Amino acid sequence: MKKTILLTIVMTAILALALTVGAFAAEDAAADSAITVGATEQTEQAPKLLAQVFNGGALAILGAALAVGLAGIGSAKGVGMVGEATAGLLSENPNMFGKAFALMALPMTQGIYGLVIAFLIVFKCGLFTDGMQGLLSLTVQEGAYYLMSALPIAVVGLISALKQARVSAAGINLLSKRPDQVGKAITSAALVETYAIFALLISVLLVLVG
Amino acid sequence: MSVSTMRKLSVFAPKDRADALIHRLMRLRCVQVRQVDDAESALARVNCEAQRADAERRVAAVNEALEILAKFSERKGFVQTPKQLDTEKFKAERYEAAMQAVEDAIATRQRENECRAELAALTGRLHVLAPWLTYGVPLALEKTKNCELQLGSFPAKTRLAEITDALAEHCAVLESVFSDDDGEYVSVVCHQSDAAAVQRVLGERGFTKAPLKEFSELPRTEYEKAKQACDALQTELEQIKQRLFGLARMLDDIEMLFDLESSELTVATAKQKLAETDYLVLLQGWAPVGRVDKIAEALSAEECAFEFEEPAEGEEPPVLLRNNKFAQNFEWVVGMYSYPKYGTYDPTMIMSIFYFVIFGLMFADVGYGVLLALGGFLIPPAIKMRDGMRRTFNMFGYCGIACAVCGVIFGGWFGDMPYAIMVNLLGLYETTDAAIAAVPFFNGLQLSLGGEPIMLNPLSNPMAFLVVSLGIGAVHLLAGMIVKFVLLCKDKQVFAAIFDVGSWLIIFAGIGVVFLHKIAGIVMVVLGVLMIICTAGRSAKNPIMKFFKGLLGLYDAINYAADLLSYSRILALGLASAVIAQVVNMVGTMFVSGIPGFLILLLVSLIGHTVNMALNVLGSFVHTSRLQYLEFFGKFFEDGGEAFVPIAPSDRYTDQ
Repeated sequence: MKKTILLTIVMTAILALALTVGAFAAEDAAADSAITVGATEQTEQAPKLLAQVFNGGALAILGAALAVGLAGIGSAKGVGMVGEATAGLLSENPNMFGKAFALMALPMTQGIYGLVIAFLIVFKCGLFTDGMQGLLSLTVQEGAYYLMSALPIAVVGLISALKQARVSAAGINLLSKRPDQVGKAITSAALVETYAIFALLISVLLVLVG
Repeated sequence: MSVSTMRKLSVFAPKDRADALIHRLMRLRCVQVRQVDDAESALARVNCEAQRADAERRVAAVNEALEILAKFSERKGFVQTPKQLDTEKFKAERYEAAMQAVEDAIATRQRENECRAELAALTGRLHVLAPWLTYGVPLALEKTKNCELQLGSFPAKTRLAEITDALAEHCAVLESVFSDDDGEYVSVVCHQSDAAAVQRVLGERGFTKAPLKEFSELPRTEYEKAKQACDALQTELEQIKQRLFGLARMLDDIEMLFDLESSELTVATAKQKLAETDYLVLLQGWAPVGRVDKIAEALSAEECAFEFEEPAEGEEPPVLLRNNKFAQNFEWVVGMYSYPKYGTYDPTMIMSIFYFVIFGLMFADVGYGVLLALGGFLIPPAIKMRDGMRRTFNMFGYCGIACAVCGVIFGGWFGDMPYAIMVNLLGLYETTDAAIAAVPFFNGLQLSLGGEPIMLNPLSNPMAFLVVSLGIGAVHLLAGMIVKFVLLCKDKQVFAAIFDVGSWLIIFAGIGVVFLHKIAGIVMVVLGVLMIICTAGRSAKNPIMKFFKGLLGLYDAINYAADLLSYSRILALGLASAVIAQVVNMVGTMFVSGIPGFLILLLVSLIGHTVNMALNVLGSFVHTSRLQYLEFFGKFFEDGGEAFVPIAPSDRYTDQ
């Protein structure tokens, strides 16, 4: 479990770095080839191809994908964990669904925060207003900036959703023994979310202001 | 505004009037019966375990009947409004019939289960008999004088001709009776002396004896018999269904019966807490001081002696909160955390104001707010909701008003729906920015600070909204500290109030003053810091420790900073709801313009905005509560009170 998370984050970081470096290299090469007009056709073709993949737009989209993807993975897993615990509770007392539902919905929010950032990035790229043209006009610098802006919610969202799910599942157990204590169970679980909210805040500010 | 003062009630009554006494107190709904203290009274406890168990059994039976009949109810409507229950009249006229219906329902359900079990067994028999219908020998006949006869089957697709040949060697005759996908059904006749050899031959080819031991007559006759029994059972099941439908018409009465019996159980449970002498019982309980007169009036009609006392030292009376019409809707939020200790400050009033404002900021949107307010205020009277639930709904109703007001200020009308309609559906403007420039109203108010216009919309200008969020947070925290200050002063701990809380208040005030007058502000901050260094270690004896503890007192600054930053969640949640709403609007308006566009927008909105609203009401509720519990209550709240739960008639289905 821990290994999976660690691996995901490390892979994300490496991928992001590699893409950024690749994008800069592609841009540099494109600039170089533009200056040396007399170069052979082969060297002219290669940077163009590279630049088609490694450009600002792709980096920004990667940021959006990571935000919604990683935070979504966390939430999916988290809601699943709490859902299993809830099923156990309901088998004994089917009337508790209403109370258990709030606990089930809590780890869901990280995925939504990721979605918010993904949408903000896509808005800012102009994909909705100008279509592909807006995306292609992004410089590598801008794209890399959006990618980095998405990282707080992507990483923190993933981990906080999982941790919050554990507290929520424990809260479900509490609920099975002391149904009147639902408020405390929800509050404890909500504490974990604080850091996802802070990450969301920083991501939002970075995307909106940038 | 406060925690109600409680009085301890003690009542002596004749033993045979105990039930009547508890019933009378139960109807008043303002006495919590408590366990009579053994050591104090030196009386024996009332033992009415039999009465309680009996009541419990009846409640369980009625509940079971309700569950059985719920499926057969023909009542319309999603929610049942509570019925009026006149206990005496019901007991005299309809009690017997209702109890009879309960017993009928349970007996009928039991008979239904028996029928189903029999039916399952019969279906099995029919299945076994089905292949042998054409077999013309009674099944009891297994042997004649010299021959043996057996019935059985081979696996499907077995070639019978080959087996027939093999059996012919032993003078046995094989006859095919029936064949289907499951197997070849055959009868085999042989001489008794060959039985063993025949058995071997059959066994080698996978012969299985038919499980027909329990039958004796012709297969067809047996089959008909079983079939008839089946039909009879089917008819009976149908009758049972009809009977349950009939009984379900009594559901209203049975529900009344449930409340009646539940109340009896409450009485019996309360009675166990009493103490008794040879002729008298002693009841002790708590009652709010405001209801003492009413209780006295009711008790003087009973044959009993009673007195009210103030709670003794060391006793912990239960806690009943008393608030005005607005704040009482928020009492349950305090209760979810913990009731305040008896005799301490009830924070509901001041908390409800901040709850109102912070919830509104977190979910600032006119559209969602109006919906929330409508739901919160219109649903409870429509289904005659009980007080407890009604307060929860009304609280969200008030919060909805706050959301709507904040929505006007910060520009949220189902997100940016007005602009999405103007730009995408009506085509009045080219871009959203142009629309905002032409009609700025829907984008929230604009402040002009020193000639610079400042947009308050969190999406256009998140920093302004962040400042508002943290500003509200600062006010909230300061309010908590001021409450603490006043409470300490009232408790005659003036030094603690001035040194522990006052010094920080001076520092924060100083930080505020810096913006107006630099030097005065800095002087105030330095003064506050010096106060803390000098006084925070006043409990230590060693002067060096005094100094270090004083320095350590400054560490609280980090806590205050962390508390303040926690309020940035207001911005984060506000943005999350606004962005999702914007996405819903965009999806709704991106396809076509004109009238069909409006229809699509309506459809998309119904789903999208409902989901967004549900998620954000939950989120805003949880996080507003959290800000109250941790950041605000943490400053002064003394928790650990036990809620006042008066004995009251059961009201699951009825008003008594």
